[in-house]
Formats: sequence, structure tokens, C-alpha cells
Amino acid sequence: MKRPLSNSLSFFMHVIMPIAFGGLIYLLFRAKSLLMFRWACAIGLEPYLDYMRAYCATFSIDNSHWFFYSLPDGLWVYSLTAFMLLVWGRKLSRSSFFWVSIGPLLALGGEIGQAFGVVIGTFDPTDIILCLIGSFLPHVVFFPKTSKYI
Amino acid sequence: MNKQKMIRHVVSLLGLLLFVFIAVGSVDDSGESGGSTRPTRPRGSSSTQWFQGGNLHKATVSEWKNASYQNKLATSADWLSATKWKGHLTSPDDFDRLKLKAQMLVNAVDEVISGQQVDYLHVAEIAVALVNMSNDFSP
Repeated sequence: MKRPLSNSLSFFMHVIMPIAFGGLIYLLFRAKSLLMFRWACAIGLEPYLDYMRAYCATFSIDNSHWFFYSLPDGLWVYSLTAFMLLVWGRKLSRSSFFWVSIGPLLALGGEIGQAFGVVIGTFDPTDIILCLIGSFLPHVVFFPKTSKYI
Repeated sequence: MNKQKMIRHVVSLLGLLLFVFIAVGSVDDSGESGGSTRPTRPRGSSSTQWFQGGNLHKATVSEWKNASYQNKLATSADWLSATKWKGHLTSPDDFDRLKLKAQMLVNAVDEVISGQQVDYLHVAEIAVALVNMSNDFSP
């Protein structure tokens, strides 16, 4: 019984929490033209979001560019990589390597694509730094288990 | 391939699809990743003229809604540099800070006019009211 509970807690802490926090940054501080606003409105969250956005609008964004525009990317990679590590028993093996690598590959590939104009979006070196941190941090967090390589 | 490994592959694929779906949520109506309000880099040759070319100073709300983000940003910078930022633009860092405030002003104007039937109003009236009433736009 200890392992499932531990996995559930890890899943909540390292998958749900980061992705939820990243989503909140988008919902509370970013433009309302994002698709996720349509989804939030569709499930009736618009009044609550408007209230919270009005409150959050009072926060200063000086020197917080990375927080609003790069951190959500890093949290997405962290969450996806942690998810894959948990699914694969926190081990890197021949079978799990592809899945554990796919988050960093998608995120970093997208950023590099933006730099060359192949992918739509704004290239930002800070994104790359936070994506790299988000890629490696789950391995550090789960180090005792991921140290088992095949 | 044993059954447990097969299940892990399936769960991984479903999880990946879910994460991609979440990422799609960060795309805006125009298809721009990360939303149209994402600032460009504060320094660099491609972004040095971000404050030029704004022509929405006498625009109506309707015209503002149909204008590009760059035009809105440059116009907002003009409004700020002519009011609270007058005499405060002395270094490149000042322009970086002005850009953040101009982005805030664009967002604030967009927020005010969203869902409102005020297309006949001049957007400058709304912008000036916002700038005057809030300390957030000060240098």
C-alpha cells in the first residue's frame, strides 16, 4: 500500500500541481484571446476568472517577464517529464527513454523551430533555459530511482 | 512485449495527448503560440522600433479592435510617453520599462472594451482615463 500512495502523492506534487500552476499563470495574467479562455468560459468559469484577473492586474510585472512568459513552458515540460517517469516506474530504460525524452524534445524543438522561423511564436532564450531546467529537474527529484539505467 | 509494458506505452501515449491538448490551450485565436500579448525581446535589432508606427490615437473602439497588436502597442507607448512618462525616457532600459507599461495599457484597454457595446467611443478617452486613474502606468 505504501508505493501506490507514494505514487499518488508524487503524481499530485510533480504532475498536477506544476501544470495547474502554469495554467493559472495563463488564465490570470495572459491575454483573453487564448483558447483556454474559451474552454474556461464554456464551463462557466468566466465570472470567477474576471474577478481574479482584476485583482491580479494590480501586481507589478516589472522584471517578471520570465515568470509570465517562460515559466509556464518550463512547468509544462517538468510536468510531462515527471508524468512519464512515474508511468515508467521512475526508471530510464530502453522502453521508457523515448517517452521520458518526448517532453524536452517537443519543448526545445519548438523553441529552436521558433528561432529559425519554422514554428509560429516568439523565440525567447529564457524559454530554453526554463525548458532545460524543467527537463532535468524531474530526474534530480526522482534521482534514486532513475539512476537505474539499462 | 509483456502486458504491463504495453499498458505503460498506452498510458504514456494518452498522457502525451493530454499534455499536447493543454499546450494547444496556450495558442490564441490568431494561432500565435503563447498569445498575441507575448512581448518580443526587449533588446535587439528586430525589436528596436516597437514603439514606432502607432496610428490609433484618434481611433474608435471598433477600429482599435480590428488593429494589429503592434499598432496598439506603439499607440499606447505614444500615449504614455506624452503623459506620465514625459521626461523619463533617457536610456534603453527606460524604453524596456515603457514597453511593459504599454503592454499593460493595451491589455487594460482590451479588457475594458471586451464584451461592451462601446464601438462608437474614441479609445483615447478610455486609455487616458485608465492612465490617469491607475498608478500602475507610472515610470
